[in-house]
Amino acid sequence: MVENIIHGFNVALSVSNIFFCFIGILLGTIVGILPGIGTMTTLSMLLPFTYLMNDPISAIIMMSGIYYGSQYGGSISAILYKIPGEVSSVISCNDGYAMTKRGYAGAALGAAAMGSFIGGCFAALLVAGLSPLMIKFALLFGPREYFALIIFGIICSVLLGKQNWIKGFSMAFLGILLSMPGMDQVSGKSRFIFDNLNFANGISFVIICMGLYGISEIFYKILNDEKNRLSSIPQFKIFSKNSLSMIFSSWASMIRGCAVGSLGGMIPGGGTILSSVVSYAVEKSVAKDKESFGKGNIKGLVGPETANNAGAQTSFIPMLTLGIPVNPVLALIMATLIIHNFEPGPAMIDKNPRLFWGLVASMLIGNFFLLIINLTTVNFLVKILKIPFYLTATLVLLICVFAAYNLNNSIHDLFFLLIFGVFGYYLKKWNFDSTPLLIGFILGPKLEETFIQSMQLNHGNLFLLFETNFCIFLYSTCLILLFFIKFNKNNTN
Amino acid sequence: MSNNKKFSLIILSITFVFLVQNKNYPIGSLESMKFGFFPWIIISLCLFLGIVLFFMKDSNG
Repeated sequence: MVENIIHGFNVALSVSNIFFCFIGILLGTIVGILPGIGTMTTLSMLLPFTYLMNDPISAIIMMSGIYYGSQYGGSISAILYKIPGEVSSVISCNDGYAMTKRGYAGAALGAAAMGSFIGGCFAALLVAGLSPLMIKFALLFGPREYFALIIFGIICSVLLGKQNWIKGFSMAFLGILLSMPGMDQVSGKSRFIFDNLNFANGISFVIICMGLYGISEIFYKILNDEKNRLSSIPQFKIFSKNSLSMIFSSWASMIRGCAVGSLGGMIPGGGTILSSVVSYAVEKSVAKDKESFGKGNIKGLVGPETANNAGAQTSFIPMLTLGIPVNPVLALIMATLIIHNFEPGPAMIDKNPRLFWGLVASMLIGNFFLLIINLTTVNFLVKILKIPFYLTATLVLLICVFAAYNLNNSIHDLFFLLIFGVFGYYLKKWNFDSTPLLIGFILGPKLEETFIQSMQLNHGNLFLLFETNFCIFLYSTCLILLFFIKFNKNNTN
Repeated sequence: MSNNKKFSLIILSITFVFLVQNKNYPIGSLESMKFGFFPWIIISLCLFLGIVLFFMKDSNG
């Protein structure tokens, strides 16, 4: 493994890769700080531009940097202004902002950065160590097991999401349905193209992402008059004796955060949000002074911050080794890989060692950059929160329109962008989460492929889908999860 | 009209358009896996969920 990581460093330390890694984490930190312009918006806007990059590995390194960089950035606005830049930073608002109010903003920011760094590095090493083992396991899979695994991924993304499961399943199946126009995998003939050649290649995943996350977000903010209004930046000092002693006293929370986050990140539908929520619960349950949580307890900040960074990076494991994205961001990164002819799955490391080990090494390098940026430039970075909303909104709209048109030089894509933008706006307004739709859309073709292969192998016997122990285990876990969540909801009601 | 009803009408309309398109293809059998089969499963599930959603009350979740 050490040799492979050294090989990875050779790839990641090339001038272009280190440049794009830095650009990625800087952009990630900025979008993490800015509420409203999320990781998905940024990644979907940038995806079409990756076609222009000479080395696709640089593109993947940059996209990944944006993802884990945003986890660092999200905590800054959460701690200083109680504005979570990312959903996973919501938990940090409790104790982080309380610490700022008590005059410990420096310690809170330092602790969040240090926890994020340790969680990120630990998880990057875990990606390196666990992925080859996962691949050995995945090589034993046939189409039936893959089919079960995809079903498991979709069901988890629905059940662990924040919305009612019927709504979630409707979104997931709508996503699968929308992935169908284009070429049929068995006959090679076109289907659902409505006698329109613009549909011949299906609906673009990038257009859906930009519409649902970029355009709709801007529409929502404009129509609901949600703008960032900040008065002043709180005064803080990270490198004071008091701050440093507080940061180092929370080492146990960092270790627990690493463990919880690494595990939570690998669960489909879980990712960073589940990691930080569970970590907060763990910290509170092991603490002696439970009543201080929510009033500025540093452990309630460090644990979730460590966990969400660890989760952000271990969530790459199922995507790279099994081809199962655990959240929409990973679905978008997976789409980037596929566009650049890298097929995520068990053959990933053998076929593309430069990409895999380069990505792992870039995570370690990126985390180091992020620590430096977060400890030294926070004062400067938070000023971007003062940028007027109309400027960022105009910029996002312009980039989305330009990127959408640039995909195929087609007006047709712009119409789709508008349709999905309006659709995304209403989904948000009606309290529908679009995550299952994206997961369904990206996994739909693979689901169909494995289903067809399984049926051909089983001579059309549907019951043989449930034959192997692994399949039975996955389907029963789904059922248990379904009953547990439904039972829990009924109890809550 | 509740939000669930509005969304269910959207999902039912999209599914209906796909249904009309898919009727041109043979349903096939599980052995031959003709190309209309898998879409029929997904279309049926979308129709079912759309109808369930139509009769479901709005909640915070």
